[in-house]
Amino acid sequence: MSHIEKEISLDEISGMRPDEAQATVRVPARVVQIASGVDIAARMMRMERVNRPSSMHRIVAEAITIKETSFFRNLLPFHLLADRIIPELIAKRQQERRLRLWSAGCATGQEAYSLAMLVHDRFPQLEDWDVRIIGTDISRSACDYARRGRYSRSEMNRGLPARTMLRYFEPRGEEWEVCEELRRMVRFECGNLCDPPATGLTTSEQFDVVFLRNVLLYFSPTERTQALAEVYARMAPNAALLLGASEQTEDASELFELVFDEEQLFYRSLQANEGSWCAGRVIASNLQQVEDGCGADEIGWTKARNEREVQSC
Amino acid sequence: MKALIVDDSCVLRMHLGRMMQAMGWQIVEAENGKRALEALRIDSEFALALVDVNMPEMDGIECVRRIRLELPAHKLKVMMVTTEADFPLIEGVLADGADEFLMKPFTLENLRAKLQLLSLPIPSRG
Repeated sequence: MSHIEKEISLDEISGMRPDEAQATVRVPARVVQIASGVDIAARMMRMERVNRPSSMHRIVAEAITIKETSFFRNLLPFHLLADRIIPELIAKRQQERRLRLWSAGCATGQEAYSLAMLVHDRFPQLEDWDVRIIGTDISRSACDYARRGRYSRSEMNRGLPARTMLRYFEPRGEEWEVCEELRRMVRFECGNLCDPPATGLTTSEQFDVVFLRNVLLYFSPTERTQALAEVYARMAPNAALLLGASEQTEDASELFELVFDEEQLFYRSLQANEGSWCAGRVIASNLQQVEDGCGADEIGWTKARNEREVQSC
Repeated sequence: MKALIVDDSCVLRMHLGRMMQAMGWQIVEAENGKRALEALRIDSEFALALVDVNMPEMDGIECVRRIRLELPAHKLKVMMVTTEADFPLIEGVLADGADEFLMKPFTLENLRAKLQLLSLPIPSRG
């Protein structure tokens, strides 16, 4: 749910008991046009920082989030990661021997664990590298669920190959639990993507791969721009951003370069490449340009517009 | 595309058959492993067999072994569909030649996800 049909005053909610607030935000007729649910949650989180009731933002976050996910969801992005993105990153990170992958809006953790399984399974050469996968979500209950790492039969049936299940999970009664090997690679933090001080990430945390799939579609244009700016700020040079099939970076097109790979696409941040001049490539802001025969490669070079890039030079 | 549903429960065969048909599959049913083998011997057009484990006359495990032994040229994908989901059973039946495993209860979406895996598998070391 991204928008509500009627505005709720924050003061109105703040004055309620938690159970009253919960009932209020869960009734669709009380929810908005003016402020999207994520915006309300962001404001709630700021309220918590000024010592307002800490349970309030959680109630709102739980009410507005859709915890829809599955292991290896849609498959193709994982093939792209395995066949192109990670091999390229391995070649570029030989000195650092360090990779960071971010599952932004991770819900109950299946995507983050899928990334860990893929890295562990397909890239044994990374065994002595420092590889970490971080999952973040605004919903605390989703993060707790992800940290617990136990999944029902129904969740295991969704997209997880049987051999992979045997390799990385152990049966626990009617549930299956993620093995210790994967747990060591993955960390979950509760945070708000649209509120940089509260993303759940440490200040200096930079990522080589960002999965932000089927998240932006629930945001307003303003929130999409905020979220993409935060993601951009968190991307290391040559990092890759993967969005959901129906999502694009049109709200922050000056920040990212569109990269085509056969039937798929992903984005690279327009940052200065290691040791090189500060420039970026103007990207095709939507697929129509490509269909019209004007692909990203034909558009040309330009100066980076982002101040941060200029400073980084 | 033609699929063989092998289960001793006619209710389950009907339930699974409807799901498969909803996705455009042509369905043939068999009530145990023996009947499944008979169907497969005379028709090489099957792309998929959905096989239960516990069945009279010939169970699903024996059925998979016989399929791989007697019909090695058959490009049939075999997915076990069963309530029993303990680790040794799944491990054993995959080693015997099954390609996937779907645990009951399942939804249409679960089934679709598993079918997607059979045509676009996540490469595995093991």
